[in-house]
Amino acid sequence: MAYQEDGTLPKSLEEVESLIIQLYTPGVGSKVTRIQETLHRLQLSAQGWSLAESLLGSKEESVRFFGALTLIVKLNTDAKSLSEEDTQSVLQNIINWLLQFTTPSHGAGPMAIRKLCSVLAGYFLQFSQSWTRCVKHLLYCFCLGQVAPYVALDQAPATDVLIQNITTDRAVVIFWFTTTLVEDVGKMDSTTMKQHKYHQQVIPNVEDVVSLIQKFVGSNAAPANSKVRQEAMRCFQAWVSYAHRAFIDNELVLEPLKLLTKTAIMSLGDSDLYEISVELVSEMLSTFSRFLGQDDMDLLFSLFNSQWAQERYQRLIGGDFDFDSIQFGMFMIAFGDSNVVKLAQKAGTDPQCGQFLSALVGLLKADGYAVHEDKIFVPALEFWNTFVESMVDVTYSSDHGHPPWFSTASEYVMQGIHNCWQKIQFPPQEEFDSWDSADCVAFKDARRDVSDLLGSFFLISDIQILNLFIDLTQRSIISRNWTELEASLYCISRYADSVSKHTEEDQYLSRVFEPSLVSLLTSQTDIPMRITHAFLSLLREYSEYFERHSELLPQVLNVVFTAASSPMLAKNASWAIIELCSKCRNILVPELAVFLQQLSGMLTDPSLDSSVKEGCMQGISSIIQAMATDESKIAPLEQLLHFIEREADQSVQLLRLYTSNQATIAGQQHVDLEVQYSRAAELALVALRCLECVAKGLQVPTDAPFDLEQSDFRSTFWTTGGGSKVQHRVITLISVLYEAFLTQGDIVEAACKVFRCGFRELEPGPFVFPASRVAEVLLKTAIQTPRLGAVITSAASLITSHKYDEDIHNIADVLTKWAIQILQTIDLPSNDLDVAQCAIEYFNRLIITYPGIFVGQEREALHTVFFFTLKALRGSDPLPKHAAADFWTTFAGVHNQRAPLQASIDSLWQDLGPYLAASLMHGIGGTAARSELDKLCDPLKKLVVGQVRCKNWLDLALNADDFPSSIVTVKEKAVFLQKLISLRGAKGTAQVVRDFWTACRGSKFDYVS
Amino acid sequence: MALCTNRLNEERKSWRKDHPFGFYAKPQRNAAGVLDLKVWECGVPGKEKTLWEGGLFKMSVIFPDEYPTKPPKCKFTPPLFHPNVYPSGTVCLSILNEEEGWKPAITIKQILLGVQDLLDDPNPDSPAQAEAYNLFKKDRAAYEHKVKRIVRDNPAP
Repeated sequence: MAYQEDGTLPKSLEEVESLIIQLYTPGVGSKVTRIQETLHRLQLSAQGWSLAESLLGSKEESVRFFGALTLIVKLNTDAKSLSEEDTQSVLQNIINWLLQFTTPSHGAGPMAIRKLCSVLAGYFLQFSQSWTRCVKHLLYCFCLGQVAPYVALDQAPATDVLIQNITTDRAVVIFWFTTTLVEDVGKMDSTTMKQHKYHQQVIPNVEDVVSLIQKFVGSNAAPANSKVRQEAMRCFQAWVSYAHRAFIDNELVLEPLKLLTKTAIMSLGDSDLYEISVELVSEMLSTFSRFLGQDDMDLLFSLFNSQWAQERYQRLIGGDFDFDSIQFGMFMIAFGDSNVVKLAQKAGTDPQCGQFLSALVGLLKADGYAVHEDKIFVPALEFWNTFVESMVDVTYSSDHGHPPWFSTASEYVMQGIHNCWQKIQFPPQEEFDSWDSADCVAFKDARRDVSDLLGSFFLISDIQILNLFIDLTQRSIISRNWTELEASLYCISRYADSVSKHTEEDQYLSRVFEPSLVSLLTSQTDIPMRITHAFLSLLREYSEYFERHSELLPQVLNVVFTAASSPMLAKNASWAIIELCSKCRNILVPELAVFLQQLSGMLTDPSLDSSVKEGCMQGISSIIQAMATDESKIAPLEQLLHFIEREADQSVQLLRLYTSNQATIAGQQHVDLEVQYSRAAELALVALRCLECVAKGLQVPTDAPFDLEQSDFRSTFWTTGGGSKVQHRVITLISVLYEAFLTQGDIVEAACKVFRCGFRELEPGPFVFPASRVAEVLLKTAIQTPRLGAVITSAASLITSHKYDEDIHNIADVLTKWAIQILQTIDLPSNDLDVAQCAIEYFNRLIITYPGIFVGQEREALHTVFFFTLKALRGSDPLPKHAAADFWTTFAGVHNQRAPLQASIDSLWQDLGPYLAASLMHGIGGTAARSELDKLCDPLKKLVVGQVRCKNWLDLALNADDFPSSIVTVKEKAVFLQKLISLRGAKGTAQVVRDFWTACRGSKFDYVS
Repeated sequence: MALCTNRLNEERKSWRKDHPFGFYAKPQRNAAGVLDLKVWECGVPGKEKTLWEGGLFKMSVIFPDEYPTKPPKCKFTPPLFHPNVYPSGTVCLSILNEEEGWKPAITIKQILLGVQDLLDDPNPDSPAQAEAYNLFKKDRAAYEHKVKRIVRDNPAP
């Protein structure tokens, strides 16, 4: 078809029709877009109106549909250009087509008729002021069987008469039109709504619509076919949601619609209308319940007592989760939600309320597994969450304690909780495994929602609620009902936050753990995994209880250590070990030897999960930390180190084997060798992580008292005294692994982490090494070392945390030279962003702690640092840029140093000032991102406050040839500079900078400022 | 202030009615048990079929008095290893930035889904922490390895 390709339009109606038919024929594929474009051009052309006319006269339904569509396009694009006369004739024309289409002999299908209804609604949106009584006008024309001009509406009979005479088919069309009308108006945003005063134009129609609906579904309605009745109800639904919008916008109340609320409620029992009315009533209840009167609510209450409702309810809780059945449940919940306060307060005095609450409790125990089968459980649970929350709100807003209705309402909640406890029980493992993953996740989500309910209810029920689960636990232990037991333990574990610090906490918890639960887990061997899992979670949550009840600890830890060897439980077990050992460290000291032995046994299992190893090491170390003297800590620490060294030795041996065979072996053997190397690296990594865990375990708990007088800050026990052998072994171990695996980033980083544990300590300890030893290890790195950034960061932490070491100045000097060398090698920040950022941060921290060491470096070396940071400041990489901004902020803030040092600093500024000013102005002049401006302001503010020559430097920078923006004038730059200087670094600087940056970038960036 | 509270109550209602699988979000209660609508405890699960699958990450969402005119702050607790999470745990995401993508119409559900998307699809243009960002850019294998470990340490229940 040439006209499509060369852009010409079809010349005859037949061609257009054939294009439309093609468009709606399936399988046209790639041609669609081009056909659409061609047709759209036709619609937009001046002939669009007459084209629509011709198309509406076609015999083809799809062509007629397209004709209607064309009218919508014309109304949307050309409406404003129509004269008053034209608009009337357009309206008459549309109605005329609608009359023809709805003449029984015409044969038009619903698709074209509905589209014409949309055209009419579109017409209303354009010309609402001249077609206000649109519904009656349409009724009148339909009854006349011909188009009457709108002005003739005055002579029309009363609406009631028209309604009596309208045919059912045409009534359906009016419902379609008015439904579309209010839906389309409802979609308008508030400004358009106000501008066109749509509400004022729509509302005069409401009585006509209500009367028409009443003809088909009202209490006096004559028998009619189900189609028209459904359309009438749908129409009412659309009008109610529109009424909500009118209420929100202007507090307008569409009173006549309220005549139909009872009809809608009564239609629930009508099978033709159920699906529409149940949705409609639920919607009203949940979003617009003020639309319903007290008599409507009473009617609903009595409806729930009817046989019809009882049957539906029984079907639902009997496991019928079809769409209509769920709808009924949602309807009950919506009713409950909108009456929640009344239900709570009158549960004991009003039998209807009591019955309804019982039914809602019952929704929590419908047949079937929650989520997977039972689709009403989660919504019902949400209702109960709301119910309990409203009880909590009442309690906390009253000064007089619980109101009289409280205990009855609580009884319902307790029944609900009991039902929830049944619902959260897992299905048998095989069954659960067969569910799709979304159901599994949602089932666990539902369990979490139940725990929310438990948490909220605790606030008003207090600790007695635990009795329920303690009884259930004991009952299921006796009956060996594992699923029930798991659910009870789960519920109890979710109370940890609530129960903690309660005066009766221990009294209750002792009944949870003793005697049966702990003895069950220690004596029985065939306990399902889920029970142990739940028990481990319980231990983790209530570890502090065992601190106060140490008699149970050995047994409990026995269970935990046994669980640790099961891969599925390992992670949870190691958490429980860390928690229990840490919390009960003081009590467990006598058990230390047993634990070390237990660990020794566990380590013989090559498949032991590394997280368990790490957890045990950390747990045992926290017990060692609690030992009375440093001397006593040596032996157990040596034993732990022995375990770790064994692993490390194995790693080093494997590595040696790899290195010696590497050159000679090829092929498959070479592959094996690579596997060996990975194994060696893995062992080394685990060893270092274990060391980190030991270091963490040895840290003094944060809540322990810190005795400043007793504490010996300068104890040398671990560095040169009796403990030095331990420290020596640790640092040797780190050093060996570090050097052996310098190409492995994870290992380099793991070693640094061990060091950092020591840096954080306030008191001397086995991991608080002399700074020189750490520096020695760190300096083994080369520029190619992976994670060099982490090493540099460790160096920075080392010098700042060892301020009191005698030789720290020398060490800092050596490390600084090393860092400068790294900068010289990488040259540009973008060559290694990580190293660039960490190194700049190193110098920042160096200046803060040792300004003298920094300034004391060779002039050339200093220039390397300065120019590197300036490059970072001008560059496009955000992290080095931020670090550089911090560096310059710090450096510009160094004042009041002793005389020679301050003099050197001042002389440095003479050279540096213009460069820094240029870099800052380069960014602020437009090259920086908006989010970076605040960062760039920091050094700028310091510069303005601290450097007298700063104005000159900035002036030069702003007027330099390479200033990035050509939009701002010299005068604007001068004004900016003047503002900066007069603000003297005050708060307003950031805004001034932002405004200037926006001006430099041009107006298109206005929106971001 | 009233606007903030009303909106948060609405948010709460609609979250209850419909929220995506695996997530949770609820206002915190203070020590006396009173609900603090302006601080929510949330959980963001890793998306299926991504590196983050199987993990569940705790996050606080803190609403300012000017909410919804101003966006809330999202903060992972503990701080998360991720290129767009600051060392403090605060999430750097355009829809949470008042001057970028924030719109008062954005719901809590959209925020949490946005954060979930961010997990596996970091934005390299706005790095917030060096550790994850540099590893992400320089050594993808090591980055992925680390993410896997983090997922293992923060398993979904």
